[in-house]
Amino acid sequence: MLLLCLMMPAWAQSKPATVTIWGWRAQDVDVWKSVETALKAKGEQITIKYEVFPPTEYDSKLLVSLQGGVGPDLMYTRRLPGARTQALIDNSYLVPLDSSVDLSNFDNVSLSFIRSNNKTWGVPFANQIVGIFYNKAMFDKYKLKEPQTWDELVQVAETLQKNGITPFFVSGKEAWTLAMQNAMVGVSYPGDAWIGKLAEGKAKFTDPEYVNMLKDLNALKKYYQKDFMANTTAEQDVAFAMEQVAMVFYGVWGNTNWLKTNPDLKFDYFPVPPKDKNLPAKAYIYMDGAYGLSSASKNKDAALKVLNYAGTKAYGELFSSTTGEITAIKGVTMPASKPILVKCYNKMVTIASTNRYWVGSPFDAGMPSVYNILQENMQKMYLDQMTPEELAKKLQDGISTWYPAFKK
Amino acid sequence: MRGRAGRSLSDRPGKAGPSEARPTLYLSEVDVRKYSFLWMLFPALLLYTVFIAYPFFSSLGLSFYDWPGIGPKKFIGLSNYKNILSGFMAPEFYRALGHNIVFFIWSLILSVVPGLFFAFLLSADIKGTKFLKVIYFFPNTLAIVVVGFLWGLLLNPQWGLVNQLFRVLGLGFLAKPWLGNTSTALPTIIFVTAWRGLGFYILVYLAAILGIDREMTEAARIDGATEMQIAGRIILPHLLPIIATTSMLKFIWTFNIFDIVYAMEGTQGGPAGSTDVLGTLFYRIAFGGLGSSQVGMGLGATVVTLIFLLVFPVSIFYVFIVEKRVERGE
Amino acid sequence: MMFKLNGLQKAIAWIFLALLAFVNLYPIGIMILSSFKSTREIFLKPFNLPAVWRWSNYVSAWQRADFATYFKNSILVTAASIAAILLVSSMAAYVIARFDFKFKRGIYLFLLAGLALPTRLAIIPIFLIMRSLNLLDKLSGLVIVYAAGGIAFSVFLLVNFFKKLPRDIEDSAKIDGAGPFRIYWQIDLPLLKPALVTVAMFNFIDVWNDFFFPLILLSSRVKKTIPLGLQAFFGEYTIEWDVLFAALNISVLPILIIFLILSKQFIAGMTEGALK
Repeated sequence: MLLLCLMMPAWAQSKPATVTIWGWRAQDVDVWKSVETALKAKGEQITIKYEVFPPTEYDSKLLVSLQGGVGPDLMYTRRLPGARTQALIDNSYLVPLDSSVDLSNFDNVSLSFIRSNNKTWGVPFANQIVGIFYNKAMFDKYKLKEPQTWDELVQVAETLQKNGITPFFVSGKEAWTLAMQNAMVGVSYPGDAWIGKLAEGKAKFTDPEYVNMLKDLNALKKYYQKDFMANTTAEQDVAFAMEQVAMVFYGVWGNTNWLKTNPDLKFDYFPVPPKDKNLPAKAYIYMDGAYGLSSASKNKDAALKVLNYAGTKAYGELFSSTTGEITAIKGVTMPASKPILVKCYNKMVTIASTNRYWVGSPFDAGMPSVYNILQENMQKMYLDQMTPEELAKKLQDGISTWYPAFKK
Repeated sequence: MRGRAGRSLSDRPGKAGPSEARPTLYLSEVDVRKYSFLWMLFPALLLYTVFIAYPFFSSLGLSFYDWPGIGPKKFIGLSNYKNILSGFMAPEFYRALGHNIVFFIWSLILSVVPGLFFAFLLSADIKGTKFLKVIYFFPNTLAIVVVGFLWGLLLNPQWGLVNQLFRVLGLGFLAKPWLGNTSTALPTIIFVTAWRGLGFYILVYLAAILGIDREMTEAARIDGATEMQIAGRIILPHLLPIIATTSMLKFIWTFNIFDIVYAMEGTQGGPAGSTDVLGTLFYRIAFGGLGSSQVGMGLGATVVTLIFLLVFPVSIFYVFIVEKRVERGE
Repeated sequence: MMFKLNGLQKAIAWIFLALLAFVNLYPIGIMILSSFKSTREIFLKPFNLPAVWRWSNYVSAWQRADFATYFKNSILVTAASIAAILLVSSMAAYVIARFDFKFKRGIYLFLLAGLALPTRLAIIPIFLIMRSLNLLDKLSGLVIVYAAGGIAFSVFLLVNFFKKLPRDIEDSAKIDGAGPFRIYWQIDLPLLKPALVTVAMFNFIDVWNDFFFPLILLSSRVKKTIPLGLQAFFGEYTIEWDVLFAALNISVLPILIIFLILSKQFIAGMTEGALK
C-alpha cells in the first residue's frame, strides 16, 4: 500500500490527461468507456482513447508504429512465452510494472504468463478456458452424462449419432482450432503429469501415450459433421447456437456469439476426459492477454492509474459483465446471468492444468512451435495424408531443432 | 478521312525505318529547348522513386540481414538465400512456387479462353448486349477480400449455394468440401479469381476485336469464308499482341497473389498447405500468421526478392520484344 | 458488329451470355439480400428472400462503423489520389510514348518494375519516410502513397493509349508552333477521355478498397477510411454477419454508382477504336 501512496502525489490527482490504448478486441470498447467513468468518479481527469485494430493486423501495426516512435500509452500484449511479446521486452518497448502497479489481485498462474526475467510486464485482462461445450437439451433427451473417460466420450458420440444428431462440429478449415483441439485433449490424455515430463525432455511426442491419443483423436472424426474440413468457426458458432450439433471443441469466449444468435440456448461445459480413469481430467487454461505500458509513453502517471484500476476487483466485475468473458482477477464473482461463466470460472480454479504445450507454453517460444506444426499437420492427419505416428514424429523432430531439453 | 487508331504505318509511302514521325534526339545535340518536355516526366518519376522504388529496393536489401522486425539487424550475407533455396525453408518455398505456377497456368487458361469466347460473342450482331458489358465487369469492382469472403459462404459444404445447386441438379456427388480438400482447394481459389477478373479480359479482347479493319473481314466474307474461318484466320492472329500483353500482366499478378488466398484459406494456405503461395509464405515469415510468430523480415525480404527476380525478366521481355513487335506491326 | 450469326447461333450465344451474367450476378445478389437478413437467416436461409427487410442492419452499420466520417475520408483520399495519378501518369506516359531519348527504355522498365512489387514488404521504410515528412496520421500522406503506387500501372496503360492516338492533329499543331505541353494538354488529353476514365476506374477500385496503408499510416478514428471501418465488424471471436453485410453493401455502393455513371466512357475507353 506504501507503493500506492508513493505513486499518487496529491497534485497529480486532478491533472487532466489522455491515455491512448491500442488493442485488438472490439468487445472492449464499452469496458474502457466504463473505466473512464469510474475513474472520473474518483476525481481523476483521465480521458481514455481506445483504438481497435483487427487481430490479424494488430502486431504489424504495433511493431511498425513503435519503431517509428509513434504509439499508444498502453498496448495490449499477448502472453509469454511468446516471440512477439518477448520481442517487445527485449527491445525495451515495455516497462516492468512490479513496483508501480498493485498486482495482488492476480494469482501466480495468471501472472506467470506475463513474467519474464522475474519481472512482470503487463496487467492480465482475461483468462480463457477451452474444452468441450455441449447442448444440454440433447444430452438430457438421451439421458447422457458428462463423460468421465475418453471411452465414455466416444460412447456419448455414438449414441447421439445413432439417434441422428451430429455429435461434433469441427472447423477443419481454420487450422488453429485443430491445434487447440489437440492441446485441450492433451492435458487430460495423456495428461498434465506426462506433459510435465515432456517439458523436461523425459518424454517424447513419439511415446505411445501420445501416439495413442493421436490415434483416438483421428478415430473420433467419424463423429464430426460431414465435410468438416471446409468449415469455419463462424459456421460452427451458428450450427451450435441453432442446435444442429451436440458438442464443440472450443473456448469459453464462444458464449457471447452463441447467446447472441440464440438467447435460449442451454449449454454447458466439461473438460476433455482422460483415457485412464485413474488420471484426473484437466482443463487447458491460458491467459489471453495483458495491458502493457509503453516505455515511450508521455502520460505514464495517468496510464499507471488506468493500469492500477485494471487490477481491481471492481474492474474484474466490470470486465466480465460487459464482455461475457472471464477476467484474470481472482475472487471476482461471475455474473449470475451467465451460468456458463460461473461453471467455467470454477473449473479454472479447480482443474487447471499446470503443464501445457500449445499457447503460453515453453513449446511456443521458438520456431517451429508446437502450434505451428500442429496446424498444418493435424489437417494432414484428418485428411488421411499423414498417420498419427508420422505426426508425432514431425512434432518431435521439429521441436528438437530448438527446444533445449530435447536437444541433448 | 481520318484514319482509325491502330492504322498501319506502312501505308505511309516512302517512310521506312523504325522511327516514324517522332523527333529523335541525340545526346550530342544539347539543345535545352528540345529537352524541355522531359520535365513532364519528373513528377511521376520523383513520386515513384521516393515513395515506391527506394523503399522497395532498400527492403530488398534486408534480405542480407537477420532481422525480426524490431531491434538490431545482423548482417548474414547470403544465408537467407541458402535457407530458402536449399535449407530449412526450401520445401515450403518450392511448394509455394509450384502453386504459383499452377495458379498462373490455369488462371491464364480461364481468362484467355472464356475471355476470347465471350468477346467474340459480344462482337457479333446480337441485339441487347450492351448492358452485359457492365455486368461482366462488375465483379472486378469488388474488393478481393470481399470476393473471397462471399465465395467462402457460397462454398460452405453443408448449406452453400454451390453444393445445393449440385444436389438440386442431381449432381450430388459434386457436392464436395471444395475448400477443405487438398486436391480441390487451389483450383477453387483459381476459379474464384477468374470469376472476379474475367470481365477485364472480355472487355480488352473485345476492344481488340473491334479495332480490326472491317474491310478485311468483309473481303474475306465476300470470298466465301465462314465466320469460323474469319475468326481463326484473321481475327485471332490480330489478337496475339493483346493476348501477350494480358498474359504478361497476368503473370506478374499471379506471382504476387495474396489477398484471395488470405481471404479464403488464411495465411496458412491450407488445407495442409495446399494453397500456400509465395505471397502467403512471405506474409507468414515477415509478419507472422495465426499461430506462427514471424521468422524474420530479412527472410521475408528474401522471398520477395526472389519473386521479383522471377517476375521482372518478363517485364523486360515485354518492353524489349513484344512492344517492339507491336510498334512494327501497327 | 464483327460477326454475322444465324438465328440458331444467336440463340446459343444468348444462352452462354446469360449464363455468365447469372454466374456474375448471383453472388452479388446474395450479398445484397443477406444485408437485409438477421444473422440466423443468413446462415439458415441463405437463398430465400428476407422474411423481414431489416433496414435496421443498415442503420446499425452506418452508426457503428461511423460511416459518415469514413465515407468522407474515403472520398477525399480516393478523389485526390486519382487526380494526382491521372495528371502525373499521363504526362509521363505522353513523354514515353511520343518521344525518344536515351534511357527511355530504362526509365520505362524502371516504372514497370512497380507492377511486380508487393506493397507490404516496404511498409516500414514507407512508414519511416512518412514520419520524417510529418505525414503520419494525415490523409495527405495516404494520397501521396497511393499516387506513387498507382503510377506503374497507369503509365503502362496510358502509354498504350497514347501510342494509338493519330498523329495528324499533333503534327499540324507542331507546325503551328505548339510546344509539347500544349499538345498534350489541349489536344491529346481531350481525345483520351475514355482512356483516362479507364485508368481512373482501375485506380478507384484499388484505392477505395485498400486497407493496409490506412491501417499502418493512420491512427485517429476521425481519419479512418471505409475498409478500416469494415474491419470493426470482424471481432476477434465474433462476426456480426447481418451488420457486416449491410456495411459491405454501403461500401460497395459508391463504386457501383460511379461505375454505372461512367460505364459508357469506361467501356469506350476499353473498347476504344470502336466508337468513331
